Amino acid sequence: MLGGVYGLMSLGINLVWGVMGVVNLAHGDFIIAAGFLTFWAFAKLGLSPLITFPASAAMGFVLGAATQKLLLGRVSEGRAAAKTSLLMTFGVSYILINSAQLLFGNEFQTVMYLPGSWHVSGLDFARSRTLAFAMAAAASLLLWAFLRFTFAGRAIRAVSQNTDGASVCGIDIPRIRVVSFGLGAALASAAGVLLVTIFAISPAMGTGYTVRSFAVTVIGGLGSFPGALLGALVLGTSEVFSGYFLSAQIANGIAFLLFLLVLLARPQGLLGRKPT
Amino acid sequence: MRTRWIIPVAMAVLGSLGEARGEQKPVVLGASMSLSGSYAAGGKYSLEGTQLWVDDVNERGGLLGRPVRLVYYDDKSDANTGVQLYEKLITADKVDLVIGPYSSAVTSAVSTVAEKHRMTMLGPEAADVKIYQRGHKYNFQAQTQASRYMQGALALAKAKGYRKLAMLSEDTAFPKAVASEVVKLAPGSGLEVVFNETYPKGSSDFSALLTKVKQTGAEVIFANSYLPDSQGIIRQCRELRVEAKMFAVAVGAAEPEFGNLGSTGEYVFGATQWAASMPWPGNAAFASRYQKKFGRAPDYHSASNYAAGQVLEAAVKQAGALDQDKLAKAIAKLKLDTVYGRFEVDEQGIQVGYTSALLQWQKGKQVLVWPEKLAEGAPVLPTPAWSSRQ
Repeated sequence: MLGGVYGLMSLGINLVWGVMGVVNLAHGDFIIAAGFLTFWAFAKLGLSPLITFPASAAMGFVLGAATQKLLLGRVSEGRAAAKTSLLMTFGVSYILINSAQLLFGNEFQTVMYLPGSWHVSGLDFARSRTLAFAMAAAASLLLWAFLRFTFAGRAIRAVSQNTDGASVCGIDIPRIRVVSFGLGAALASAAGVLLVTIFAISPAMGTGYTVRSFAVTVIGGLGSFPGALLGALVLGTSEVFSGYFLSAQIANGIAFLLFLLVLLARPQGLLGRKPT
Repeated sequence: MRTRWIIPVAMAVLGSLGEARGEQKPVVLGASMSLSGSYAAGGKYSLEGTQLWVDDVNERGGLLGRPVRLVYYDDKSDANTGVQLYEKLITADKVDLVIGPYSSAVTSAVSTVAEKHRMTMLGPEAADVKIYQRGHKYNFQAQTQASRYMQGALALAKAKGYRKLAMLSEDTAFPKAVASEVVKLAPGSGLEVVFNETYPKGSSDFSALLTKVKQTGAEVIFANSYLPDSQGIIRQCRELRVEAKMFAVAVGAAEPEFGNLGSTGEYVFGATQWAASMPWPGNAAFASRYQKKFGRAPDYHSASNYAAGQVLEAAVKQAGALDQDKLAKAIAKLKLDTVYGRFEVDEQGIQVGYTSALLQWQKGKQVLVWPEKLAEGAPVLPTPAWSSRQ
């Protein structure tokens, strides 16, 4: 169940990485920011996370697109561009963490939406997790349809496969980058809304989720849509199983173990393409 | 170039003017507090407790006739950061007095800094006695010792004749200390420990551990944890339908924020060391002044920090100076009735005076249910099944 949310998280980082060649270090902080927005809407306005879900995603898109347009897009092209962008996302991460601390304080917060579980043929399905899984699946499907059937979506895929080629075909690269970074942040925000209905979050924990999303992307395969989902399911399942059969300490680090194993055995990721 | 000397001279002149007007150099009290990270909830209450004491002591004329000023930093619930901050407080800020941080984990680390610099340090949030079994001369425990935290829960379980106990603990100093004490005390309460595992600090998914707990058929579940993990564990018990006759948490249920769980947090027991209704001298007045200043009720962390201030005040008065050796000697011999109960340490500096109590969430409120002579209500046991909850 958790795998669905991990999947949504890593789709965002995967997209940005694929198109721009940059790991968005503020990814996890977009997740946490959306989580806090959901918490605030729920606690102060009584809004259900189902309503906050699209609103948060839209806000994430605007924030992400603005980050690309105003900050990352201004980095001049060249060999150092990727490094500068990486450092810039690190800065954005700090801005988001500290804004969340100022606005919402440092305490852990969670949204008690749909507590309890459904009992179906001997198995217990936690309501909040089932809902999160369904929402994550729906959002992933939407994204897939967008990338597959719309012009902008196809352009994004083209840029991620070959930037120069896409440029020659008349695709406006800076615009596509704005759209993809926006989409990446929107996906992170959507995941954040779902996350806060399951776990308690605090402003400083975004980095942990950046690392998880990154691990999922590497495990699943860079640039591979089904790979991200598979990677997420693999990570979610192995966290729970290792926690059950071994210990909670090992479950905590299993992401890195898988990360290493995949890099050694299949560097392109489970469903990734070999670099040509 | 020539103007360079003007500034120091001007400052010296201004400084002497200040002294001439009878302004006293303040006594600076330094501390780090967990204001972010997983200990932030308790850390904030601790800080407010100390702040209230600083206000009060200044109203009484300060320490040795000098006003008291508090300098504090956020240690992010991290022991390494705490060590750096106490080094900074002692060597760079040159504070006159220090007071311990939040949690046994951070205190354990920074106590060595205080010891190294020969600074007397009360640990108002350090329940783990191991910190004080290392032969330190300048560290004193100012929190109820960990072995007493689950006394109430064990007593109730014994009275009801429950037999199987499962325990989940965060793998840091305090929760592990509580767990090892419970393992020692359980047989005397007729309980068999059927499950006893730890989870790393910062965990949020407990489903794997709880699935194992469920299979043990435990009647009593103890979570030796802090606020966010206490909430997570209880919530996931409900989602996984882990049924037990009694749920008790070490830290977390004493915090008002635990009430955010709503019906899920109902009937959960929690250790507490203090309540506004306890008959200690000055306690009721402390609680109402705190409410007035901070707009919320104090919890036991606020009270233990305020009490540590009272102890420090009494020790400074006895020593008649800020000399750290004299302070340490005074605290070692001190027996003082504070808002937190009677302060008294043994020859190692371990707290033997402060006691523990147990509360239960009933109808969205914390009700003190143990010990009997302090109880505000009767405990509700066994805990109703999750399926019967709204």
